[in-house]
Amino acid sequence: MNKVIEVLIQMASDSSLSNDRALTSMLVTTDLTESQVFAISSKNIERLAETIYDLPMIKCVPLMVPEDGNEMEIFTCIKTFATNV
Amino acid sequence: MSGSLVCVGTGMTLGAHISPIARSHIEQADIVFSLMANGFAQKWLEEINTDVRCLQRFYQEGKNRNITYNEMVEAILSQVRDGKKVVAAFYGHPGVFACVSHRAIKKAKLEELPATMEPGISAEDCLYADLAIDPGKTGCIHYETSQFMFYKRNIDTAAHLILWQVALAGDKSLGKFSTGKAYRQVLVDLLLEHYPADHQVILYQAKGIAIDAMREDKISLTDLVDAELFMHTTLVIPPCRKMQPNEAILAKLAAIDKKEDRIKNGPELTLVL
Repeated sequence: MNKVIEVLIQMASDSSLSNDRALTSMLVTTDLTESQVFAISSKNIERLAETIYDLPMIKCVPLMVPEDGNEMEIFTCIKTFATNV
Repeated sequence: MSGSLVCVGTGMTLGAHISPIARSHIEQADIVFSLMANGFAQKWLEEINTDVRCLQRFYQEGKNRNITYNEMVEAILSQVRDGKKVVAAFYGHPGVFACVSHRAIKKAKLEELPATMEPGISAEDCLYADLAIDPGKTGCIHYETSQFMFYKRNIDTAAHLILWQVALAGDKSLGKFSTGKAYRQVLVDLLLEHYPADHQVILYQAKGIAIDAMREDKISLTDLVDAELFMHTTLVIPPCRKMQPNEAILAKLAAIDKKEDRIKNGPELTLVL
């Protein structure tokens, strides 16, 4: 696995790395480049992204469509109710 | 061999929020379709399964998202029909503010193909934790921002009002990646019918990776027009008034309490034959 991703996952899942001193000690033991360590320590996401040459581009996040056929469902409910009456 | 579909959520923060079962589904799938929020999460996904197909290619500014989402659904289901074990991985929760998974599962079931969903930690979950809001305290109403504008919805100013996808406020075309100040002004004017102009609102964003910080920008309602908004920014509007007691209901409940007390504390009657 890519070393940067590995470190990000470790940071997100190991509660002992939530303080700066522990994080610095951990970063020293990794195979990350100097610029990657600097980007992580300074929490600079753009700079970190630049260090991974094949990082996928994300154009858009999944979004909800404001009108997604709800009227049809309500109509079905009313119809069922009318039949029962 | 019969194909199957599992829609899984990878959570909001890479590495911190995914459930063991969701991860297992991803690792064991024949094909993983993905919609992640950042490149780091996408790269991680591509390293735990050898056949990850990013659905981002269907997005295009100006293209109606209804068409985009139907194309995504078709891409996913064509592989299920071919007998593949398919996973569709979405950031956050796959069933919250994400119509692709719901549409894909609904269509798969109509075709009698097995389809299920595994939850993930959503932006809503993170919001409650990060902003210290308990939705049970005074209540909490969630709307998609444009839907809130297009339809006459009820507003309870004694509860939290949470508007999702605020950067796309008022987009009727479903083709924009953001709308401008004029659209936001319409939203602010609508909110000003219920809230004071200086009411403090919060612009919220959950953190995506470990070195990210969550966003909690407190601004006046009227400043929303000029605020920097992203696709994943959420508008949180705290209550502006106290809950009003419902006197009629309280009187009815008091009458029941009184009647029950009378039965409980009354003299014990015995039947004499």
